[in-house]
Amino acid sequence: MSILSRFRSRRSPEVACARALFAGQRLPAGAPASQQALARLLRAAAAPGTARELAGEVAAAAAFVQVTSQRKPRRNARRVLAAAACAVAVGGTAVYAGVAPSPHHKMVPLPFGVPAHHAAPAPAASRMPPRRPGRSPARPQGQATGRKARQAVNPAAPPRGGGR
Amino acid sequence: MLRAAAAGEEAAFARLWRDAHPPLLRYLRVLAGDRAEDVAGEVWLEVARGLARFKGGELEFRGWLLTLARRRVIDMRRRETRRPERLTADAAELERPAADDTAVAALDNLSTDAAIALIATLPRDQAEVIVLRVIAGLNVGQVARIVGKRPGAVRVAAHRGLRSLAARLGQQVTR
Repeated sequence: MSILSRFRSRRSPEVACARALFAGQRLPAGAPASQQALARLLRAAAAPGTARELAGEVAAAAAFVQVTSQRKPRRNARRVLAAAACAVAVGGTAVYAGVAPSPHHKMVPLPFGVPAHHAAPAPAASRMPPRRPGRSPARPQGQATGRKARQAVNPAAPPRGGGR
Repeated sequence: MLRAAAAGEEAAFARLWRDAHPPLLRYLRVLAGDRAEDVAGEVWLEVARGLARFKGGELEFRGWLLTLARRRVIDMRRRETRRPERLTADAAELERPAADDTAVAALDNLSTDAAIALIATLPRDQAEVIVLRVIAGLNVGQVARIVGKRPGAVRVAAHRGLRSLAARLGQQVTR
């Protein structure tokens, strides 16, 4: 008999007992008393839950409800944020593609003397008086320079050189 | 039941808890001792948070639950290592029940607590494997995945643990 077969024959009852114990089955006939005691011990260890072990069921269920109720709004908020991000991305793409009128069109300053493209009347500051030949470029009405401008900003200031 | 619980049904979760909590608690008693209840509460909170994303059957759920429990215990031990709370070195020995006392209690009463206490006197890797195999009802492959060992190592640890338990019980039987 080889060493391996001797080893197997010596171990096989023990292995068979172990398999039966792990499977929760009855031990083979003729199992030693210690194995029988072990089987009883493992059955006791794997017994159904005791009342003391199951005492926390209500608290566990309450904690579960609390956690799941906290989780739902967060998921909704995440969805709303995702939808808002999508809307911004689509809107921006549409603007650059020319589908929607660009807000920049209204912000571009109009050159003096050129009538606005809009149907609405231009503001008073942009209306230009007719240019006279041989003079400096006309300023819009209401825009003064030099002494008049300083007096407009600070009426209490004395006129330069004439305050004496 | 798992799907209903994952969808947020309280009654389904309660049924799940009733089935899975006793094995979890017994496993944690072997690994964490007196803190088993606290760790179990943390594990169930984690389950409640992640259950909606869980995919698998009842056996996979049990494996997931016990894996979470094991990770919690490892975290707890790390915290304890960083901030030890024990005042004396003898306290660890005092907390661990003597094998002879628990063997007598287990044979006399055959109560679940006494049986778990006797299993907890084994070396930790053997006790863990026996609890996972016998109490949680997991197969060798699942236990190997949970404890991070090869299936052969799990079988060896289980057989050694059973032999030690049988020897202790045999001493009590022959007395």
